[in-house]
Amino acid sequence: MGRFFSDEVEKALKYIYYDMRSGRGAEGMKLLEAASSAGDGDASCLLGRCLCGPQYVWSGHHFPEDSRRASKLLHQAVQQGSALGVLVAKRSGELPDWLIRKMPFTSLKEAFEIVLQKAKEGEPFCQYMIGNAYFWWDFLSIEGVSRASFASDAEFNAYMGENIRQCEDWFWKALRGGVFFAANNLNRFYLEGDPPYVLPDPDKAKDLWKTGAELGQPIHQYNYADQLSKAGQQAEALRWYKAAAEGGQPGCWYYVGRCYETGEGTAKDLGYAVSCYEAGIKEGEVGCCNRLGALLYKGQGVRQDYARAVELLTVGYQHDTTWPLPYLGKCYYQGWGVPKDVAKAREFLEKVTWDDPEVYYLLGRIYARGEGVPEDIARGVAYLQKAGNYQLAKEELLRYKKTLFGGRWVRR
Amino acid sequence: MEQKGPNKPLPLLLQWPWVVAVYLLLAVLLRLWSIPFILAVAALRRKYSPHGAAEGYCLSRTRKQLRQLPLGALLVFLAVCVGVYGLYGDEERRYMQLLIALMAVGLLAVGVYVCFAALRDSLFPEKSSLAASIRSQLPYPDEAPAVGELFAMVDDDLAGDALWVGSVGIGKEWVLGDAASRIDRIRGIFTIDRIEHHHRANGGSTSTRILQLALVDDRWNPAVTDFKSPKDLQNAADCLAGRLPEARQGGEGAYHDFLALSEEQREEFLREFDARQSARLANAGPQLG
Repeated sequence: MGRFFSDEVEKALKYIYYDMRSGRGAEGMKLLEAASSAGDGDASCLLGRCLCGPQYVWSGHHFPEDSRRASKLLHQAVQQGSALGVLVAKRSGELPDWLIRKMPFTSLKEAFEIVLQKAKEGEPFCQYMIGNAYFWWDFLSIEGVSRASFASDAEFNAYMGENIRQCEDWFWKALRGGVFFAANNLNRFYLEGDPPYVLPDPDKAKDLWKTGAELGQPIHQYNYADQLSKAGQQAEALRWYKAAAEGGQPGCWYYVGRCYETGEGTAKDLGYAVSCYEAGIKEGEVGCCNRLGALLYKGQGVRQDYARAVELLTVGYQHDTTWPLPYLGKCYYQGWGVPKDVAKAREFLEKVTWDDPEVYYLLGRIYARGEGVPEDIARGVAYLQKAGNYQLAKEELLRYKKTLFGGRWVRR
Repeated sequence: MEQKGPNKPLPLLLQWPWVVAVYLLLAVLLRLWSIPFILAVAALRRKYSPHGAAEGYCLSRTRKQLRQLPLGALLVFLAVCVGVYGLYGDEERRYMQLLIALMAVGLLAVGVYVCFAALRDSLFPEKSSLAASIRSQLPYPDEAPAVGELFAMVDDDLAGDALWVGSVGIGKEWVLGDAASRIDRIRGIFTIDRIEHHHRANGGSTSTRILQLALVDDRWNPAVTDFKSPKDLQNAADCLAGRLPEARQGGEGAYHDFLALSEEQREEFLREFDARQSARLANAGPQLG
């Protein structure tokens, strides 16, 4: 038995929350599964939370989302006598009256006191849940009070302010202990406050991500890098993007690769950019598929490979990104890496909503020459003219002329 | 500027060398009245085989040189006339006779050469100036393949999807004008547009507009092609300049200046050309067709 929970649960907490960079989240989940099956209510509670999606657990663990099972597990945790389970279920809206009646505690307060005790003794997840109980006003139902319990608004407001403010200290403790979600709530607490009980204090939020980043939280390293990037500090931003990526934060290899590809905040290194994108693709980053697809198409930093470019760009397209459209259009038109299919090429090219001379050129050519569509020289010429100074479009335009009478566009 | 025409089979009588026989027969039978018929036959050939597509662009171009034969014959005839005039002219004015004799010899030489070139180009394509120009563009001209293969290189490229501007065909790799130039070897693109005035003996004068596209390759060999339309000339020059923005461009003055560059200046230009082209291509994506 561990200090606060069973050994399995304590190990799982470490792998899933306090030491996310270790990459042992899956192992932690397995421990929870086993312990939950053995009747450990805390394990059921944490397992349920793991299945609630990225709002409740780090997305870098890539845990499956299963809200029905999560709900079932939270109910189970309460019935198995987990005080933590009661607070988590309450916070997740999974503590109906029938479950309250079935829980092996005399009241919510009893469960709260058990968790509070562990929080006081230094257990970070409990500290986070206590912080939540204050931040989200759960203390009202725990204490069994409401506005009617107070003689005046002023008394009620003072009570609310005093309790809500307690979340700050608990969240800081939880954050330092490794629960990164605590910083998210702190950020909201500082930026928005809880008027009229607590007023915002945005200055305090300024260094939150920096603190989280320095504590080694990949998600905060990512947030902090974003903050720096928006402030124009690209080199420093890259350092943190890289740290976050190496810590397993989803989406970060894309930024690192892009910096090396474009030379933002560092010297251009297309070869390294390619390896970043490859790493991101392994984690399922769609942005990396798109960028690497483009590099493979151009043969920059990597040997030109149209077939793989099309494969990766198709993944991007299937995820509703528009970046791959011109590349896919060109590949299908030219028959690069895929069998030539002008109709499909046109489909991609016509979805491009921004100015791209190559796209205009191909659309112009398709319509003016009647490739896979009825010939429409006027429409083709209109596209070609939109391509501006693009050399091939200028050459293609030389093949058509306007008739002297009637001003119709015809082939020369 | 024309699109490559439909690939229809060329009727037998419109094919080389039968078409020459048809022209001669029409000329003998109808004399001056043959002209509209000859023009009609030529139009039919253009329809069935634009730019000589059916028999091969290059071969067709060399055979067209046969059209220079009448001009050569005319020059020879004039030389003979001038010679006879000189022979029976005023014997007291010896210097005048000498001058006339020299003129006759000059005319004769030019006439014979024009006839020779016309016959050589049309009957012996492997010895034509077009074949020589293609050979000169190869990395090892001495090891150039047979003329059939040589012409096929250019023909295949033009048959792909060439842009025709006037009589000049611009393919992906080759430009076919009066001579052939490999596009990647072109280093200078110049347009010549000047008016030449000729004074007549009776005091009047005639003017001729010279429109030419001069392409200079990396060995400083010029290839000059005549144009009929200034717009076509400009379009051809613009099209090539767009493909090779690093090439030297300009008018006749720039052309002569470019040809007159010293060895060192040429080397410096070529180095700069390569550097600028590499920089451009490094950022360019794959070239669309």
